Amino acid sequence: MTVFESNSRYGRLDVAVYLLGVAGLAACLTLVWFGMRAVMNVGGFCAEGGPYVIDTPCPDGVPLVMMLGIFGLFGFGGLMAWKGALIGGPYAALVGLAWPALFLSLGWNFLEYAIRPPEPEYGIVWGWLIPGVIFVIMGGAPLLMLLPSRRTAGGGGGPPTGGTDSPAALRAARKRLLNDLVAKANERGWGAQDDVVTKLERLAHLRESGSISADEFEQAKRAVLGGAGS
Amino acid sequence: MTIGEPGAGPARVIALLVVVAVFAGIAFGVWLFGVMT
Repeated sequence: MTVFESNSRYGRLDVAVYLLGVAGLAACLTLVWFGMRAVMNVGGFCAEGGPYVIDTPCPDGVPLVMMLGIFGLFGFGGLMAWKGALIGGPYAALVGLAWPALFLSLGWNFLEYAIRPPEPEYGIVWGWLIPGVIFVIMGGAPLLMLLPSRRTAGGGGGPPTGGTDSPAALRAARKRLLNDLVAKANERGWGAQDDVVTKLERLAHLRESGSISADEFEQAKRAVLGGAGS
Repeated sequence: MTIGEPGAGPARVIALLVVVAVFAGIAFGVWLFGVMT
């Protein structure tokens, strides 16, 4: 029985740092969202410090919250991209979801406050409705483009259900074929009909044509040469 | 026999942990906002 394990280029620490990036990014998005609402509650503008007479002071702690949130987005997003690239699969690209998350959530704030503005405003506030619509488009359009590509990226696991010519489906089919090939070859003891040289030539041909990767070629070669291989 | 089927083994665990991390991050953000303001 041959087991081909995927290359483990990352350790638990890498996964832990990646997850820290995910959690940190979610926390920063939350801070920015709440911070924006706090500012909108006092009319949408506030100020602190400086030489001018301040009409509307910022709510306590909100400037720090916004600064932490905004800078944290970049910091934790960077962590996600860095370790996600190491883990492979869809994990690096996952940081891209922060864009629609940010713009859709802030767009929601704009829309909500445009329709139900805090006192003394009333009616529909166009100054908030327009940025709300723009933010929703900015966040929603990339998400719509991203979602179908995510589905075919093969991250979901299980056999692909539709789109038999998609890259993920082809990859999965190729792997299934290779699994079956090795299984049958193992059962027959490699060489009931074909000798080892023929097998190796066939594998080399598959490797050259790009049908199998270098790793898969090496694994299969070992299986051919060593029977049940490691 | 397995040849790196997508979503198999550790990848599935990581995906689950990512979902947990998102919710934990949001909860932490809510708590932090409450503490800071």
